[in-house]
Amino acid sequence: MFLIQRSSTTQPLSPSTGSAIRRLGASTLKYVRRMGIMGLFLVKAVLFMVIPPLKFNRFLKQVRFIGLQSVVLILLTGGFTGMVLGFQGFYSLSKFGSDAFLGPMVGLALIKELGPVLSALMVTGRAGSAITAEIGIMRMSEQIDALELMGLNPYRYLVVPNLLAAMISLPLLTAIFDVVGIFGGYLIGGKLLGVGAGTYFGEMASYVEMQDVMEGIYKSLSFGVIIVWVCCFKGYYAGIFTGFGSEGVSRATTQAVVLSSVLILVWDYFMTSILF
Amino acid sequence: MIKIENLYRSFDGNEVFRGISLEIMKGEVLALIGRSGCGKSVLLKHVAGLMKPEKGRVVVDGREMNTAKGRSLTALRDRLGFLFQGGALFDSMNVFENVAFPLKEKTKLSDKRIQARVLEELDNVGLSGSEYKYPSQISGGMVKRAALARSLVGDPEIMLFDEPTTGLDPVTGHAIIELIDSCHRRLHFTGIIVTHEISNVFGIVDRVAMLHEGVVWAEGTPSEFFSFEDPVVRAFVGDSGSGGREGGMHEEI
Repeated sequence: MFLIQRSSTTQPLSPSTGSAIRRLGASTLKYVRRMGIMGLFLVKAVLFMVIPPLKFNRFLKQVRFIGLQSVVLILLTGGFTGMVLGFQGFYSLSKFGSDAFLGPMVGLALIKELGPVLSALMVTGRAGSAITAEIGIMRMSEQIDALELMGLNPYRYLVVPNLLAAMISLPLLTAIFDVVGIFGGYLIGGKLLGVGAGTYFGEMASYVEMQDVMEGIYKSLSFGVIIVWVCCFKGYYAGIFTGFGSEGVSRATTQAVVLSSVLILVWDYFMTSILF
Repeated sequence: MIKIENLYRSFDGNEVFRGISLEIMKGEVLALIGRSGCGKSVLLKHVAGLMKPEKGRVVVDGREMNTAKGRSLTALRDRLGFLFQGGALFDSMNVFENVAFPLKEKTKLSDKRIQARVLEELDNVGLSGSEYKYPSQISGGMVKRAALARSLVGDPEIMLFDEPTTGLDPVTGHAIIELIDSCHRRLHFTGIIVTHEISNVFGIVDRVAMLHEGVVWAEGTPSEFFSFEDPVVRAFVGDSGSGGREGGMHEEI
């Protein structure tokens, strides 16, 4: 048996400090709980993706929406990104007398990094926000409840087709971005600034390896998963986590785009450090 | 057929149900009334299994709704139809596709049979000729009719109606109530109607239950409701006549 003696210098917490700590604790628990729900959402989506049946028509529709309808945007952004790289790369390399390496520089930058990341950011802004808004409005107007009450699985209709479509579309869009960007870089570096085609493409072929291409593909695949995971989750739980009505959908859409974009950049770092 | 036993539920510390108990017999239609925000729609969602209580249980035809999962929950929901307050039609599909959707996804019927069934159901609700319009192109009353057709197309044994006339003008609202009554006479489902429309609905239901302060405050036939002395009940139903399905006969209000 022992006696605990309270130190005479110990002061009880003031009510305001106590309630601040309680609020901090409650907020922390709330966010940890949401992260858990978000994690389970991804697990269920992957599970229903691998276990048949697949809603094939809906999947095709989403490939068209996420992939085909993003091509023009990718062509524009890829082209201008390549052209900017051509300018900046030429003037930077010229300082070291290495302008002959413009081709590998543009190629490697696009294939390993800018292609996957910028394609993913464009698709997030265009398709990701639309997916969040669509699912969010379905949540607000009880269409998801209606699906459940028909004994149907909302994941199979709303999440899985998007997930599979993004996993197929993102690598293809990234490839288009890379090709257009490389030619954009040649347009500036070659046609405008005088780097020969043989030098530009020849050196690129010498320095760009299959491993670099695969790195870009792995990144774009994982970015596709991130985009659909975050955007579908935010729409699915609109009204539950973001408030009701049009403001709730608006908030969900904003959060989806911001969180997707940040996660793409963070995950890009981790993938680069793993694959490097 | 539906037993609600001692249900407790709260939201953000606000107690909505404090021991709700109710029983609805097979083939019976119950009107659920009460002030806005008393939890009528929430109770309906508990019956449908969309929400789970903190305490108590909902039993549908001997099977517990709050613990049912997977196939057993799907089997229960296959026997259930729900008319949502806003209709909840899928806005990317036209009226025909909406009504056909449960049949296409849940049955192995041929396209021809599905088409015949859908057109028959749309005719029953007075929507012939509007099959290829989208939800944004039709009126509120037509949305409710289409939603009713979709919920009835699977011949459910239980029908739940969440404020079927809210947002509609009195004439259209009355028409929807008449439609629900004719569907009940045709299909003999067990039903719960959440409503504020005392004068219309009391004429077609067998019993009424009033929610107030988290409990079933009063319960009885429509006629009994008008003779209750309790001030809460009187304030809600007023002195507006009498009505109700007495011994299975439908009385005009």
